[in-house]
Amino acid sequence: MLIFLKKLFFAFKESLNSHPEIYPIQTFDRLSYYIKDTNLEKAVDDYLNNYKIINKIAIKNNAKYFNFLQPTSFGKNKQLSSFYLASNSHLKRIKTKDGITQADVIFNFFSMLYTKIKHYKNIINLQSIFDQIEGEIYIDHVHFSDKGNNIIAKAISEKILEDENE
Amino acid sequence: MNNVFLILFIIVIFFLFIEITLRYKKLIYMPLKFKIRYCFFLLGKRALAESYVICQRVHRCGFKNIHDLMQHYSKVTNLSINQIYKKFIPNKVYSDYYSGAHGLLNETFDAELGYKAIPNQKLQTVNIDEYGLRQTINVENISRKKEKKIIFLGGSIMFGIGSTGDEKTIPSCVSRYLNNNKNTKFYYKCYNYGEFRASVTLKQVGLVRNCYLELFL
Repeated sequence: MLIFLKKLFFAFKESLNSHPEIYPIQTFDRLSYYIKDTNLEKAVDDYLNNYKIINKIAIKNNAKYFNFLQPTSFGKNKQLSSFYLASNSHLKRIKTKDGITQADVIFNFFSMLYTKIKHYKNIINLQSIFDQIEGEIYIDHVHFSDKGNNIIAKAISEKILEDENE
Repeated sequence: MNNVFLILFIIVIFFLFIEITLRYKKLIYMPLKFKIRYCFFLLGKRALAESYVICQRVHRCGFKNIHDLMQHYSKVTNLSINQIYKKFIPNKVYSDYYSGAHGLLNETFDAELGYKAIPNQKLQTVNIDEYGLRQTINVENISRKKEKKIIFLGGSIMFGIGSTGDEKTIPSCVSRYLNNNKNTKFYYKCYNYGEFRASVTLKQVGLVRNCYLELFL
């Protein structure tokens, strides 16, 4: 009965919304749980600690570890197409009670990370890899098409070959 | 007494009407036959799961209908619209998970990872091998070079959500790039440990912390 009432409330709320969502209420709860903790500095430190630990394990096992940071469609240098704007606006609709959007959290996390990785040789930032590519790469707000995968794979291969030749 | 039954009947019809409306809205972007089946409780559970995720994709991308999404896929993948429909949209309402391209796979509970794909799945755009990993199409080691292994860890992007086939994922492309290069000293065999659930990826990091993956390294 409670679930039904929630659904009913959701339907009512959606009927007033000019840009309706199709997610059930539970999904919102789950997302707001994830973006509740906006202590990004801690998140970035955790990320770098994980990098260090995995790197140590790799060295111990005579292996090499490279960390490639994925491109995001936020804060790109080139003009954003209507598709990117529409797909990114989805992330801006999901907010915490303080008005911080999911897009803000992602953007701030990566911005902070980029400033801290400059001294890490094996963290390769692929943020701007699609900047010079004509046409659309993303299939949604975050995932790439075959074309995008191909470009990323090429960058990874070049790094591996560069390492082989060192 | 008759009046009580009549009121109850009206209430049931009212709630049924609301339920049907909500169901119709949930699959708003899917073809009509899917919506009708779902409204009248006739859509298979798995066909519903895939249809719902496709609707989310349409919505997240800011499109107005499924055809716009398929046109976009066609544009970014250089495949014809018919090929895209064939790959991504189930044609039977009782079908099993169809494409897999949206990260929908049959899963099993795993004590360490939480959830893991059931091994040996063959879907329209995704194949899962005997270890529960997405298949990587490795180029053959024709020139018998010394082998080196590359393990790809990551989330949905590494798994290849958005790829139109196993041969188009990042590990498969890397295998192609490296092994088709005649100047390489080694033969690189690639393994895709990418998981489509971010939570599983985080747990993988935890496992790496516990040296679990040392076995593979």
